[in-house]
Amino acid sequence: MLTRLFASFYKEFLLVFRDYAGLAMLFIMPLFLIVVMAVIMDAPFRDYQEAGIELVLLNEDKDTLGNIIERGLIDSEIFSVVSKVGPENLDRSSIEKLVKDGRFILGVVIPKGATEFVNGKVDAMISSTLSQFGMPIEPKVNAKGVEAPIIQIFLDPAVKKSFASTVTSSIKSFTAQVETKMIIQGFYAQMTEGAMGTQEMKGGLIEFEEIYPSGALSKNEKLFTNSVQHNVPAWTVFAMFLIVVPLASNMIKEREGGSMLRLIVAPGSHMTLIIGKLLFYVAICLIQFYLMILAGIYLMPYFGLPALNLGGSIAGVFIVALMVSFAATSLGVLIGTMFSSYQQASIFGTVINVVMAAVGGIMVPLFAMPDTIKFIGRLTPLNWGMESFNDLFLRGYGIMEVLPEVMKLATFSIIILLVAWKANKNNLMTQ
Amino acid sequence: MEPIIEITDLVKRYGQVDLNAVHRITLKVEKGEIFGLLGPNGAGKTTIISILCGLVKPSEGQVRINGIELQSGLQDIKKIIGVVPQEIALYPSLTVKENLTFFGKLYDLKGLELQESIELWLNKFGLIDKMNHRIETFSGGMKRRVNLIAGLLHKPQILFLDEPTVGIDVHSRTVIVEHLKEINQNQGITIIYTSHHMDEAEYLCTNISIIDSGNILAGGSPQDLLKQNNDCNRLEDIFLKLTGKSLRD
Repeated sequence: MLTRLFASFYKEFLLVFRDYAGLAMLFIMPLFLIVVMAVIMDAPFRDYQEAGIELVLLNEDKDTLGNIIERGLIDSEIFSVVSKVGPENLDRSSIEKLVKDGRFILGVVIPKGATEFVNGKVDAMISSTLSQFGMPIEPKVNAKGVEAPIIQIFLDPAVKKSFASTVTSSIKSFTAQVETKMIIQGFYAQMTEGAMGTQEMKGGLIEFEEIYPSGALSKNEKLFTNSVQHNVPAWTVFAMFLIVVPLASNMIKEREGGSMLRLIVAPGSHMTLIIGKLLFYVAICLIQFYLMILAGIYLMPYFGLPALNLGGSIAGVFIVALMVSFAATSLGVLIGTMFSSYQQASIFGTVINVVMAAVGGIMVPLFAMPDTIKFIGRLTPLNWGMESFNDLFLRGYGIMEVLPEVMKLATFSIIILLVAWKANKNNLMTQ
Repeated sequence: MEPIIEITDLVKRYGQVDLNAVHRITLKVEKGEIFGLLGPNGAGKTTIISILCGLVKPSEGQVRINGIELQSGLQDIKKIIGVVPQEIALYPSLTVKENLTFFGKLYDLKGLELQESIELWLNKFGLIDKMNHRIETFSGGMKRRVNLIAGLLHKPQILFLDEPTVGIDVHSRTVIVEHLKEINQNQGITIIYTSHHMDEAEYLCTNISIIDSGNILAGGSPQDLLKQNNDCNRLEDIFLKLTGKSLRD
């Protein structure tokens, strides 16, 4: 039995390594795929802080409010603030034109007198409040008759609504901070007769902390999601499942060419030979996987992307990769058994893979999908594989935590192989 | 002579079609014979061979090979038969040696035994110097010869040949036919053979069954068949007389 199994394995090795175009398809194309996907999917994965979006700003106020908003925009590092474009001075219409022409996707105009208006409003509010406590004071600034300034935000119509909301919220937040600061400082000034009036108030009253719940590893290392951390494992799983096409085609070619007939008439179980073939393709999948992982670690930085972080469980990574390979090759064996022509198998194999990738969260995160699709997506082996890698690469988990997904992949593979075995048996004996 | 193959009331139906591909065929093949199954396209020749090799399950009837019942002893039967299919059942991108090594290992041949068997047959069929050439570089005749060797490596007692000389030049055909005769005579291998070439069958076969539409129309040695059909000079005439001259699909 072992002789037959190894003979089948070695025969597949020779067949694959003699086919140079096929080799390129097996190893170069997946690498190409993950590099392209990681690079083009980088922007949506980077937060605005990393993106450094260019913003053209006209600060006509040139006083406290305008300066704080300008400083805030610069310090936030979300935006790369531009205050001068060309030799001419900027004005409201030139900013509108710059955005309209698509040279900037964002333009902000802080109108003249904005600080004066806010000061007046704050002063009036303090005066009114203190009067109620028997401390009548005259407002220093008369805000009556001063027109309420409007901070204008020009946005390229092509930008996403979510992005527009983020920008508007940021600017509103700066303005609110300034207003709060002015109110508090005003009260201090009145209550302490100026002793604390000029004291700088930094930050808000409530501090925020972002926490990413994860495994033990992240205590020492930050495992944030980014284009590489998401796309390399996700598209690697997709690329590994593409093995169904060459594997199924190989089986069909064997059947069409007649060599399958020799395998069937030989003594011993035909399944031994299928297992030999399956083991070879599992090995191919594993080589593909590690090549893509190496590309994630060493190649991605050449494209300006961060290197892939594998987390802390090398054994866990191997086990998940092995089970994904097993699931992919089992599916290939089933397709190769069920379909009678190369065209049918290649079209079905490719389409089923793309569909599973789409609903399984490879292309679009599962949380963004409707409930029905989420449910279906969680039943796909691509999702199990990707989630396992996310557990290992992003959440810093170990083998025990990925065991449920690994078991799902193993069960899927065994069921698929049993179906293939049954179908193969029926094909032979019902002729 | 003891029969090595005994077929009794063999029927093969495909699906629900009333017309049987093989209809109650009964025949015996003696040990050491070269037995020809001759018939036009669709006569049922390949179906019979496929049943005998265990590729196709019979609908009815009994088949015994070397005294072993086909259904229950298929694995034992597989060890003593060799099959040479009509197609070139080889891997084109592998060399002759790689192909033969793989097929030999399917029969648990290994090491020196396998090596010697490969070299022996390649020598016989004039292909020893092409051992490391890929099949895809070969002519049709050379491919046919390797196809035949792949069925002989494990020294089968019975060799099934489904149109082994179809589509090849006279030289390769002659080599194959001569070697089949020699294999049969020197090694005592029983050969079951289907062909469209009547002259080849007349020269090669010790016994013949002419079949059409799943039925045996005539059987016996070529000489006996010619005696029984005085009006025919050649086997081909008998074949046409029995199967008619209408075109077949």
